[in-house]
Amino acid sequence: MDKSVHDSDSLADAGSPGKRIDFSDRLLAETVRSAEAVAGISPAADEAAGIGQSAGGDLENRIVRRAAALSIAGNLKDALHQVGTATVLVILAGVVLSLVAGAAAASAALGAAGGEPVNVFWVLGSLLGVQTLLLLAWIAVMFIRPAASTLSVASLGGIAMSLGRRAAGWLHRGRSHAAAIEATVSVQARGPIGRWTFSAVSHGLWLAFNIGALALLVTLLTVRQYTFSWETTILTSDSYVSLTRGLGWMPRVMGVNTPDEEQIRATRGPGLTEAMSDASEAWSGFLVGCMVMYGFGPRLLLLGLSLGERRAAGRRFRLDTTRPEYLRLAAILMPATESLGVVGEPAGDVGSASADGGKRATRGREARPNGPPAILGLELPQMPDGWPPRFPSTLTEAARWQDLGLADGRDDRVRILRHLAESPTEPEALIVVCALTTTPDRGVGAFLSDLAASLGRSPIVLLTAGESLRRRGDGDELTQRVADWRIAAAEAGIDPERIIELDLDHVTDVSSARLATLLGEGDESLPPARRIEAAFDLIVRHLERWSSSESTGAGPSAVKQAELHREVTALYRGEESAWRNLLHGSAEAAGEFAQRLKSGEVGEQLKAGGARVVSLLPPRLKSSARWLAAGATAGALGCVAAAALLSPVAIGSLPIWAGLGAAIAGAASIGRGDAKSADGSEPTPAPACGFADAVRAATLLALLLETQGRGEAAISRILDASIPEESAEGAEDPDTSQSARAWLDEVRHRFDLALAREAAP
Amino acid sequence: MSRPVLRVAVVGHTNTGKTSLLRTLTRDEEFGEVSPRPAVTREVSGTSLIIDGEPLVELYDTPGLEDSIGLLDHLDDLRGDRRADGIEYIGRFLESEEARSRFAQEAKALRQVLACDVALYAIDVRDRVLGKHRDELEILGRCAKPVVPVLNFIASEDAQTSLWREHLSRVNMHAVAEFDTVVYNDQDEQRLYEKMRTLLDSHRETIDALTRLRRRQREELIDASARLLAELLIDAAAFVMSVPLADRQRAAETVEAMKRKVRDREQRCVRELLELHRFRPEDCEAQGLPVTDGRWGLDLFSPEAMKQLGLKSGGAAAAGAAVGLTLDVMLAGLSLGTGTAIGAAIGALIGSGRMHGRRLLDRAMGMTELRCDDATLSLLRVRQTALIRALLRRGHATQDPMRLEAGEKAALSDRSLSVVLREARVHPAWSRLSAGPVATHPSPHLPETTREGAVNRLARLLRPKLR
Ligand SMILES: Nc1nc2c(ncn2[C@@H]2O[C@H](COP(=O)(O)OP(=O)(O)OP(=O)(O)O)[C@@H](O)[C@H]2O)c(=O)[nH]1
Ligand SMILES: [Mg+2]
Repeated sequence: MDKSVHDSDSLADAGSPGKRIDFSDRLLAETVRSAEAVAGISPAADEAAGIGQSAGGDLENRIVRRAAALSIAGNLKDALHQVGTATVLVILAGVVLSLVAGAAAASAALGAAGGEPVNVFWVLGSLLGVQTLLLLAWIAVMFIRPAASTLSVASLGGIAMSLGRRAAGWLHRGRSHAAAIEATVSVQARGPIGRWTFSAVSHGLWLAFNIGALALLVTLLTVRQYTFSWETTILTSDSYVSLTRGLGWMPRVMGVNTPDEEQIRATRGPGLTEAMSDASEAWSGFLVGCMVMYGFGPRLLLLGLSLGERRAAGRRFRLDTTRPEYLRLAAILMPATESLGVVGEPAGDVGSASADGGKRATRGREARPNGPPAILGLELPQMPDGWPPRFPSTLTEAARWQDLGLADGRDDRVRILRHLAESPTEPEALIVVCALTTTPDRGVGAFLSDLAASLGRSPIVLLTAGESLRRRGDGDELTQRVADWRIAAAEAGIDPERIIELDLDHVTDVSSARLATLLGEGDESLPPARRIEAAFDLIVRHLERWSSSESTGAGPSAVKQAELHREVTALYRGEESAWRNLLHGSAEAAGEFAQRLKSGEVGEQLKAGGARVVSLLPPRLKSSARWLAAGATAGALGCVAAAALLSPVAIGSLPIWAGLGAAIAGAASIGRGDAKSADGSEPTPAPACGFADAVRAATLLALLLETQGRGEAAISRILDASIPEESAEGAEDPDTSQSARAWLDEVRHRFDLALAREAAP
Repeated sequence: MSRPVLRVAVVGHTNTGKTSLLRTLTRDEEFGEVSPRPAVTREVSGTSLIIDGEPLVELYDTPGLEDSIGLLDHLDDLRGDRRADGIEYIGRFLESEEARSRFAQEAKALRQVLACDVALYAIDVRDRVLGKHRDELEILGRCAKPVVPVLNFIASEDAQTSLWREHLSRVNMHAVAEFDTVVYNDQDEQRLYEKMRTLLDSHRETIDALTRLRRRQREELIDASARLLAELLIDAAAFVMSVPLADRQRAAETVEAMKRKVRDREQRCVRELLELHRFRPEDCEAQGLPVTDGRWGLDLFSPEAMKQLGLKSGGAAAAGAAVGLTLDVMLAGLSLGTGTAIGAAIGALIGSGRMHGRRLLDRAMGMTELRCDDATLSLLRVRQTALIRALLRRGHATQDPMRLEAGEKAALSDRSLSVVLREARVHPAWSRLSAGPVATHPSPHLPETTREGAVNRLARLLRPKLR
């Protein structure tokens, strides 16, 4: 009578490839799952995974094969076996107990021989009553609400199984056994197998009880003399007659002698006569017959049914492959895709098209007289200011520009190339505006080389919209894209020196000067005046003023700093649209900002302004809390200053100062996030409050205004080169006018060097 | 036979996310090479999706159509003035010399389109509709295969989705799908299959099988994620360690040991979740998840982590002891003195728990129990929930650090959850972190009061919160 959940013999060869998997294999897989949940994926799992993967079939099959192939499988099998044995032992003990209990119940019910007559229905009731009620309960639960039946295994079976597990737990304390027990419990808790196992144990135990009772009953009735009677106070004799005849019908059918109506009436007690004792034989038959038919028989049948069902449930049992552990295994065991590899001939033999695009760029046409410079836009995105870009009038008079329009498609290209070929003059320079948001491809390369071929002089490729690209991704992407464009243009035969990165959304006199130089007009237009010296002077003057009025320790108030920033910004009044863009993102945004400034609801814009400046900082400065704070301050106060220049207001009376600190801290912490991914350390932003911090912020603003119009990458590079390394002691903090003067001188010197380096090809 | 193999070619301009689209559709993060540079993919390479054990759908990645303008010129040259079908001179082009030299890349892609049943045309909707796109569509149109335009990058700020739709309908392409491979949305994927289905009558069964598979997998994924989270929470909630009341040294050591175990348990959950979602640890950073090397950037027991949650850990937090462990004091009046003393010594908080037989026994022996406090459990739950949500969306493209959403705080005090968790607190055997393996104290309880039952119940409660 093996009532353990698994068949121990079939465990022996679980997992041999040819065999169909059965319940024990699945139980082993569940045990492996439990073990791995505690100990992690088993050692040498790769090999087993290989076996599982090559096993084929569905996921469950692969999981089972893998489990069987694991090195821990042996241990786990043993553990399962031992747990099963312990359970069987407990159940056997239960069987013995039940036998004894049955016998004891029978002997107690019959009482001492030769004494009072035995009350038949009392005996029947005490031997069959409880178990019949429990049987009805079992039927109700199993067949009416099977879902709840796992819960109702508080039956003998449930208790026995639970005791079995405890015994196993006490006997074996290893991890494998723990896993085995857990797996067994979890399998039983789920679905019919547990239900039928518990039922089988229950019925088995009751069967043993009945056997014990019957055995003793028969023995006692054989060797002893009992007289039987029945009694009643409120019922009639007739009802007892029909009850007895009714109950006795089944035994009678089986050929057992049961009392007839006369005998029944005659044995009504108490006060029984001797004459009636010959009815005792019939009564014994009735008693034993009832025990067999209503106690032993049903239990035997149900035990058989339960065992059968349990076996069927074992066959139907499937792993729940949607469990996370199995789903994770699925990724390894059951590839959802199969590579088809490279289709068609492999690469290598095909020549790069752009290479021969370069070759097509043949020059050497007959010289034509120079015409005005021409400009065209190649596959540009939506331009904020429309086409053509507005260059400052200092660069060249608008009338002299020849606008070739936008080259968006085939027709445009044909039109432009034809125009260039057929025009009697050759433009003295051709500017091809390209957007960095566009990916340079061979199509663009082909057109550029056609353009180059149609002119005597290499066109100027102007890369714009760097800011838009940076907004989409990170700085690295921008650097990469610029490099890709340079490669593409150079392959198309463009002179590398004539490829410039210049954001048309932020044109300044610096950038127009660069353009002018390229156009060969550098000598005609004035080089833009430098204002950095003036800005630095302003900083020192303000610092002197602050330190005379404030007590040392506390830095200048935000209002005072904002005044300084306004004066610095005013120096660059000439490039109004550029600095507005720089600080506010766009000219409209600046206008809107100026409107809202008076109501004070500008925290977000201030933060955005701060973040914009912070994002321009090179990684070295981003990893410094001070410079983060300085950048955020410069951006936020720069916004205020710019707005104040647009619509003059008294800065001190603006209702914005309360939210300023939060905006600056917010902006700085955005930069902190960037910096963290850069080098892992995590600077904490400190608000710019000391004199030195105020100087740093104003210096940054001045440097930014001075370098605006250059590409973002260039600005970052220049800032990196211009700001001196921080000395460890901080002794040279620019917080007095002397130290600030010295520090600013060094900054300016470095700045000049950086500019020179940028200018070099 | 009712399910013929479906062949799909993914084509498009260079750098429009063709390889990314293929990666998403095949769930294969290793496929091909993805980069923001042009012309990264140079070869046609394919993968077949295995559905119900059969390789039913073949997907092919192709090199970008870089010079469509030049190619269309060339095709028109080939046609000359003879009247011929588009497909005819595409064939002539593929045999020509140009198809091996100047337009080798385009030829590879077109050859694959001809060999497939349908082409997915990837579009970067941040671009304007330009001549090159028109010419690409024109060339594809001449291939006489159904084309489903896939609008990619739709989650971008610069997306011009409606302009693209308008243009596509003008060239008679009405079955347009939207997709963002970085901000993944399962609905978008389902809709893409629907679009393919409308164009491919003969492959309906196949596409249906694929749709069903993906739907089922997603449900399974959500279920499994909820389970992993539930297991973590049960393990942490039921985790108990006893310390002697008098021995401060031991108590402090035990707190450290507990913290380490809980921390490790959380990392394990992260690792398992990443594995479940087939996410490589290095993808996390790219997707802006605050997870590095499979670890949360912010330590579970750091005050910042609590702050991130907007949690205050009770009054004792004033002592700066925002440590996520509670000294479990059973009889407030009786043991508060000792408890506070230990609490001060180890920087833990004082909480109160329910009485339980074993604890009384412990108490009689001069022991007290340490366990994770509610704030720690909430933190664990919220962090992992956020992670799962991000993973289900295959990571957000936003680089913002993860923040608590408004609804989350309300969910912190979720009743039904705390019922299960409180139950777990009195069942130390449920925790895999407790002293021995679970079953060395086999539970005398009935199956539904086992760890398994509790995990299931909790997972059911957590599941709706993951969507
Ligand atoms: N935000 C966002 N980025 C995407 C999306 N799809 C692709 N990307 C990114 O776009 C870039 C290009 O993706 P790829 O998949 O390499 O593009 P491709 O079309 O295969 O490019 P080639 O093979 O070079 O022609 C990668 O940096 C991707 O991460 C998307 O839907 N949203
Ligand atoms: Mg690719």
